[in-house]
Amino acid sequence: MQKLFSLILFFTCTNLFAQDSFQLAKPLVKYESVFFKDSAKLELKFAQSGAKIYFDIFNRFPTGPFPEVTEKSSLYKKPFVLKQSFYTVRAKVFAKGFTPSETIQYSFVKDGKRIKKIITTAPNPKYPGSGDSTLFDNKGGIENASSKTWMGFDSDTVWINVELPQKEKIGGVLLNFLRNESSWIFLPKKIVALYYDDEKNVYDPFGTETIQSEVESPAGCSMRLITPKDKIITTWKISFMIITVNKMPDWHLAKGQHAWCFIDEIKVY
Amino acid sequence: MQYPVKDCHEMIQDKKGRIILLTNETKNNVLIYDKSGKLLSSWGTEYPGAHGLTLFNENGEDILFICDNNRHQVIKTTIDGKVLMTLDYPKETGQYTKAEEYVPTETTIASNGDIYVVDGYGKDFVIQYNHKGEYIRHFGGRGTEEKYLKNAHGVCVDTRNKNKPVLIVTSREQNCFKRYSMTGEFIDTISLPGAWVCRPVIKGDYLYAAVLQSNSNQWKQSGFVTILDKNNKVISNLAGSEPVYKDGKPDEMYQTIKVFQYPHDVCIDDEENMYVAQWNSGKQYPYKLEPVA
Repeated sequence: MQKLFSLILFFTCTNLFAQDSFQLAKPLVKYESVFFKDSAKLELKFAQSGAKIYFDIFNRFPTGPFPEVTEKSSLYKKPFVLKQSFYTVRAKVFAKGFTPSETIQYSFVKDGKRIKKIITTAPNPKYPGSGDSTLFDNKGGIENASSKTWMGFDSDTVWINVELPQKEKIGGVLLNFLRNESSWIFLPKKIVALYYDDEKNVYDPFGTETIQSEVESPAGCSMRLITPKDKIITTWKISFMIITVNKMPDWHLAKGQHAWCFIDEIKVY
Repeated sequence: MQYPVKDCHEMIQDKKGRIILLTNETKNNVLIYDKSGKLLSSWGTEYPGAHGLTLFNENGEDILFICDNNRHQVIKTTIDGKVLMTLDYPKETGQYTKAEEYVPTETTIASNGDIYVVDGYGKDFVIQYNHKGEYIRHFGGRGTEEKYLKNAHGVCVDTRNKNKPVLIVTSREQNCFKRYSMTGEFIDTISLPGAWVCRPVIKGDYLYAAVLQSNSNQWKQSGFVTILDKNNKVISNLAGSEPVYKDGKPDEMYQTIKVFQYPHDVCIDDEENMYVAQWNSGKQYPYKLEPVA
């Protein structure tokens, strides 16, 4: 037996009924990790009669705009396997009589150059990750901050030193951050990527990214790709100086307090 | 707003058929409505952490038990708000050194008058008292074995088997209910993967519960309402995924329609209408749902 209910106005409530139809929630997305060595399996779910999931898949990093998912996109029927370097998957649920869901977007990234070790500023003891290989174990992209895949920092500056097994030409570096501002987790203000020049015996910057958090943004993962500009880099050591948000902005309920910075994976290409 | 609300935490129906809402708004902690939503009366200004509301018929008279998170107390009152008894933090258990460690979220009252309190925002113990408020025992708490709890947010006496009532306790962060005998022996787990269930509410053969949020979409207003049959099998999720069982185990459940934000409690009235009270939902008043089939 199924119990069916219709919703009616009871006490003073207006917001709920101001809309023409209810909006569908986002589809459930199941995957082990958005980082993978050989392949990744992605499954979408939405257990409601009459609802259909449509999706688009792009073989590129999630920068720049993507076309909107429509009912002319691919109809999701079964899980699919991802094997190439970068994927951005976008999906949305449609059903007659309902407003379509918001579009979800997930990026999947294949492993890069082999990393020998990574040493970081000490994370907060509450969010230590899962050991020395947390940032290069191909486990990540889990949006739950309590997942052991994340290292959580609350210091003003986070230093991350990456060591490769040998000297290699570097095409770019990727860092994955968590953004969940209602939980006080912000993207950093600034990321500076440096490489070790062993002829000069110094670290030189090869890329900088500055991030503004002027308005609250949807929670989720945020991959940042930094590529060397106007120079060819060959090195075996890369360092990141990450400047965190030491005072949350005025729009935030906890304005003025220190934000968290969460990182779960680094890739070198 | 003349009768404002903050979080609408819990609701019950009294023997007169009135719908009683508990909110942590100290201008009027208790709002009393008829079934059409007409406000009849209100009382209560001293419950800043008003959270749990339980009705008990004591010798023919309706009695309320209020759990107050901020006061770290359980307060027994008459239906119109006269305080009859106050239970402070349970030192007798040996588990607490100060009141702040104890944050009761819910009570249930057995037919003999025994009071069971769950410390759902504290140490997750279930504390049993007799009808006078004298400590009997405690059980639950946190740990790695199945008998332990995490976020013991709700509790009820399941009287669907009249010969053998049992306690059903919420373990919200574990997405399940756990069943115990009336003396605290662990029986089994009712697994509800994906569902941050609040208190169990028994009406007829069914168990109803508000689901604060979907585990897959946390703190994003992803709640729904779940209904279990007398075998504790999910038969429907209102605004949630259609229940699917494989090899006797339920699939992960989640919100499918954005009807609710953070449902915190349901009340089923004598005509099987459902009232849904919500936490942190823009001071929204409760919704009423009528059965259509």
